[in-house]
Amino acid sequence: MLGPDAVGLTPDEGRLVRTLLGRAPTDLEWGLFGALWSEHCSYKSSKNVLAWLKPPPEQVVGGPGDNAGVVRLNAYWEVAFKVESHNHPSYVEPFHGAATGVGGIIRDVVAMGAYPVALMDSLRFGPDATRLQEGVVRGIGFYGNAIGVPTVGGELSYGAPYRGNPLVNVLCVGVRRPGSGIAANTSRTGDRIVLVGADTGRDGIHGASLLASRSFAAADTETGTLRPAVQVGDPFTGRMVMEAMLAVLPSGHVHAMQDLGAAGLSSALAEMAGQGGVGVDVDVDRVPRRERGMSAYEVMLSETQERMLLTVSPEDLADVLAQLARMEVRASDIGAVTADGRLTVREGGKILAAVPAASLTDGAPRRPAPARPSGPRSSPAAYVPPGTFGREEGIRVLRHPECRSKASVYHRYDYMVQTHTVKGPGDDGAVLHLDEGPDGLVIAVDGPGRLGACDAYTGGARAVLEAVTNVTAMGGHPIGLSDGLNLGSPEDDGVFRDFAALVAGIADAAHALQVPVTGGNVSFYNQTGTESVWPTAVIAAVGRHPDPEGAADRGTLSDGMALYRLGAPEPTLAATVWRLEVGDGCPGPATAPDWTRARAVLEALSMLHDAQVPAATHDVSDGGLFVTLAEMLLAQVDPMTGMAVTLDPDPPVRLALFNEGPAQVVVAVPVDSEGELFRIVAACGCPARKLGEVTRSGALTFETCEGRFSYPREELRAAWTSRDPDAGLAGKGDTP
Amino acid sequence: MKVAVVTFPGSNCDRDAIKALSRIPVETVPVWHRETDLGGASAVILPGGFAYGDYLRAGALAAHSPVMGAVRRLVDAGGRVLGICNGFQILTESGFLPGALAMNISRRFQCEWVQVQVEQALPGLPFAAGERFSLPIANGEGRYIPDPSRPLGRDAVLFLSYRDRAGRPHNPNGSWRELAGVARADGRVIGLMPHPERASARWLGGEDGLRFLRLWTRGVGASVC
Repeated sequence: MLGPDAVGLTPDEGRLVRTLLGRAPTDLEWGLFGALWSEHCSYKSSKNVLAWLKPPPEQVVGGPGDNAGVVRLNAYWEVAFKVESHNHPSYVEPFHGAATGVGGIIRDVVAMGAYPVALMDSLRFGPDATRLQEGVVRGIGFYGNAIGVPTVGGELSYGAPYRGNPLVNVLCVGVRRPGSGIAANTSRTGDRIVLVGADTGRDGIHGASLLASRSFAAADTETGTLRPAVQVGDPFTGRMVMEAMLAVLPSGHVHAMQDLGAAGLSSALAEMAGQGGVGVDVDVDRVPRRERGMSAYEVMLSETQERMLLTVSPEDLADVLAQLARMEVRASDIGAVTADGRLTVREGGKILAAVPAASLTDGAPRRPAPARPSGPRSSPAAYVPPGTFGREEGIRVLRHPECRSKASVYHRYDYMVQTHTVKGPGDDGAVLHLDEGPDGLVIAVDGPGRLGACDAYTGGARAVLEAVTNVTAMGGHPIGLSDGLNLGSPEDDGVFRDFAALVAGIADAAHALQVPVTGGNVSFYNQTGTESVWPTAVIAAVGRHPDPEGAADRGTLSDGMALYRLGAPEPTLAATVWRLEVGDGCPGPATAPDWTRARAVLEALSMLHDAQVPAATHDVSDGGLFVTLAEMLLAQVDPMTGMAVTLDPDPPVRLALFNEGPAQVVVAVPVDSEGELFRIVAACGCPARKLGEVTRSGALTFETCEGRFSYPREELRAAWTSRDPDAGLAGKGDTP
Repeated sequence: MKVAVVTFPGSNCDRDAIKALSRIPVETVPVWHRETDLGGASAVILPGGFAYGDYLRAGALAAHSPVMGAVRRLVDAGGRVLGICNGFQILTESGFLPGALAMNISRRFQCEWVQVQVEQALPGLPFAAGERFSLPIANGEGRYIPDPSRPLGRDAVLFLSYRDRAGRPHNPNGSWRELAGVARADGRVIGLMPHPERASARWLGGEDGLRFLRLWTRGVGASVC
C-alpha cells in the first residue's frame, strides 16, 4: 500500500486526504492526490498571492485558471495566449524538455479553441552553457518548425544564477472567433469523454510531483535518476492532434476541450470536473496503450505527450469519431461526464478510485499570502564610478552577450510559416497580419531577470513596463499580459517573500498601465543546492495593431531624418550592461518605474504611431542608448546610412550612452514631422530630446564635451555579431 | 483552370499555398493525401512541411501516399506539378525528379531570405532565363545532391540557382552547383526548396513569390489535360 510519502505529500496533507475521504485512500487515490496536490498542479503556495493579479472582469474574455487567458482583439478575433515554463525538464534533457515545453503550451491554446499563430521563447542560461543552450534551441526548432507555428521572436540572456537552473519559458498565442467560449470547464452532464492523440506509455510518470515540485540535489542530475520522468515530443502527432481538434470545433458538437499536460489524465480529468462543477467516470481499459502490462496507476499518471480530451453529447459521438478517423487521429471514448461531482476511475468492472473532484483541484491546503508589498524594499543606491568615457566601452557593451545579435539562434526557427509575419525576430516585438479584420496583432516577451536581482518588486514592475513598451514601440495598443514566474524553493522564506514582491510589482504595473494579467505560470524550485535563480518574471504582452500592413514599412531610416529620445535618462549606471562589462560586474540595483512619466512616454509613443509620424522606433534597454542606436543603424540595408548624435554636457557621456533607466525610446522622424512630434509630446507631458540626425556617413558619430567618437558601421557589425557563427544569415531586406 | 494543393499528414504550408494562389487569383482544390482524384485540377502543388514528421527520411513515406498515383496520372496526361520544400523532397523520393535532398552543410535548420535565378527556360512556361526572385527558404534538409554517376540524368535540368544580390553564385547550404530548383525538361515537374507562397505580399517582405506562382500558373492554363 502507498502512503503520502511515496507520492510527495507531507504527513499533514496525508491526514487531510484521509479526513476528506473519511477512509483510507486506495493506491490510485494516493497517486491522484499526490499529483493534483503537488506544487506544480495545485499552486498551493502561490494561489493566494496570485489573487493580487486578478484582472477587472470587463477587460478579459477568459482569465486566470483557464488553460490560457483570452482577450478580445476586435469583432473578428479573440486572442488566447499564455507563457509556460519547462525549466526542470530542459535541464535534465535539454532537447526533449524544450520540445515538449513548446508542445504543451500549444495544446493549452488549442484547448481554448484557438488556432496557434505564434510562439516566442524566453531563454536564460548560465554564462557558459553551450551544450545546454544548443540542446534547448534544437528542441524548440525541432518541435516548432515541424508543427508549423512560427517562432516570431523571444529572448536569450545569461546570468550566473541560471547556471544550474536554466529557464525555458515559451509563449504561445492563438486566435479564435468571438463567442466560441470553449474551455475545459464547459462540458455537460451526459457528455462522452473522448481521448484524442497518442497512445499512452510509461513516460513522464511523476513528472509533476517529483520533477517540477522540488529542487535538484546534485546527485539527481549526475546519476540521471530523474531522466525517466522527462517526456518525449512528437511534433508530427502534435500537428495531427492540433488540426483535428480545431477541425471538429465548428460542428458545434464539442462542448469542452482539455490538454493533457502535467499528471496526464489525472489532472486533465480532475480539472475538467472540478472547475466545471461536474463529475467524470472513466474506464482505464478503454485508454489505448503503447506498452503492455501498464497498471491503472501508470495509465492515469502517464505524461505521454500529444494527447487531448474533448467532450461531446452521446448522439454526436459517432460523427465526431468519424471525423477524427478521417483525419487519421486516434480517438477513444473513455467515459462520461456525470452529475455526481466525483472523479471515478474504473478498470473494467472494478472501481479503483472515487473521490470528489473538487477535493483534488481545490482541497490542497493553501499557504496564506504575506502582507502585500507596495513598492521596492528600499531606494536603490546610484552607481556612478569616476572616470570618463573611453571609445572602446561602446564596442565592449555592444559585444556583450546580453546585447549582441541573436540571429544565429532565431534563423534556426521557422518564423514565416502561416505567412502572416509582418515583423519577426530582431525587432522590439512581432507584428502579425491576421488576414481578416482591420487589425494586426503585436506580441512581445520580456523577462529581465537581472532587474529583479536586487529587488523582486522592481523586477516584476520593470518586466511589465518593458513588455508593454515593446508592444507600443511596434505601433500596438496593449490588450493583455501573461506572466511566467520563475523562482527558487518556496520553502525558503526569502524566496517566498521575493515571490510575493515580484507578484506585487507585476500587479501594480498592470494596474498603472491598465493592461490585464490574464494568467500564466509559476515555476518554483529553480534552485540547485543553495543557489536559486534571480526572481524572474517573464512577461508576454499582446496588443492590437491598427495598421499591420503599414508596419512593414517601418524601420527604414533616410538621410536628414531627426532622431529623438522620448523619456529621460536616469543618473545612474546601476543595473546596466555597462556595469556588468566595464564596471564592477554587479547586476543591480534597478530603479522602479515612475508611472506618471512612463504613462506619458507610452501615450506619446502611441499617438505618434497612430499619426504615422515615426519612420522607426526602438526602445532603450540592454546596453542603453548606445546599443539602441547601433541596432537601428545595423538594421538598415543601405550601408551608407549613418547617424550624427550630439550629447548635452550633462549628464556625462557614460551616463547618457549606457544608463538603462525605464521608459526611454528612440524615434526617428522625417523633418517635416517634427512639428507634429512637438505637439504630441507637449500634449502628453512626455520628456523628449533631439539627439541628432540620420546621415550618409555610414557611421555612428557622437559629438560630446568629452570629444568626438565615431564608429564605422563595419566595426559595429563586427562587434554585434561577434561569437555569432551564423552572422552571415540574412533577414528580410538583408539578403547578401 | 484549377490548382490542387495536397495535404499530407504533417504538411504545414498547404494553407499558405492556397492563400497565395488566391491572391493571383487562381481557383484551388484542397486534396487530402488519401484521395485518388485531384478534383478536376490541371496542376497540383505539393506543399512544404514535415509529411509524416520526416521520420525515416524527408518525403520518403509521403511518396507512397495514394494521392501520388493521381499526381502521376496528371503529369502523364500533360498536367503540371510543383513541389515546394518538403514537396520537392517528395518528388525526388517518388522518382519524379532525380537526386536527393540532404542535410544542410551547416547541419542546422535555416530560415532566411535568398535570391534565386532562372538558369534555363522551360517549354510552355513563361520563365525567362536570368530572371531573379527574392524568396525565403526554411529547411534542415535542403542541400541538393545529384546521382553521382549521371547528374540530373537525361530528362532533368538545373532550373533555379542561388545567387547573391549582385547576381553572383551564392551557396547558403552546400547544394550541388548552387541548385535551388530542378525541373523535368518538359517543364511538367518542378521542385524547389525556396517558398514562393511566403513572398506573396508586400507586407510579407516582397511579392516575388506571387510573380513566380503567376508565371507557373500561366503555363498551367495552356496545358489542361
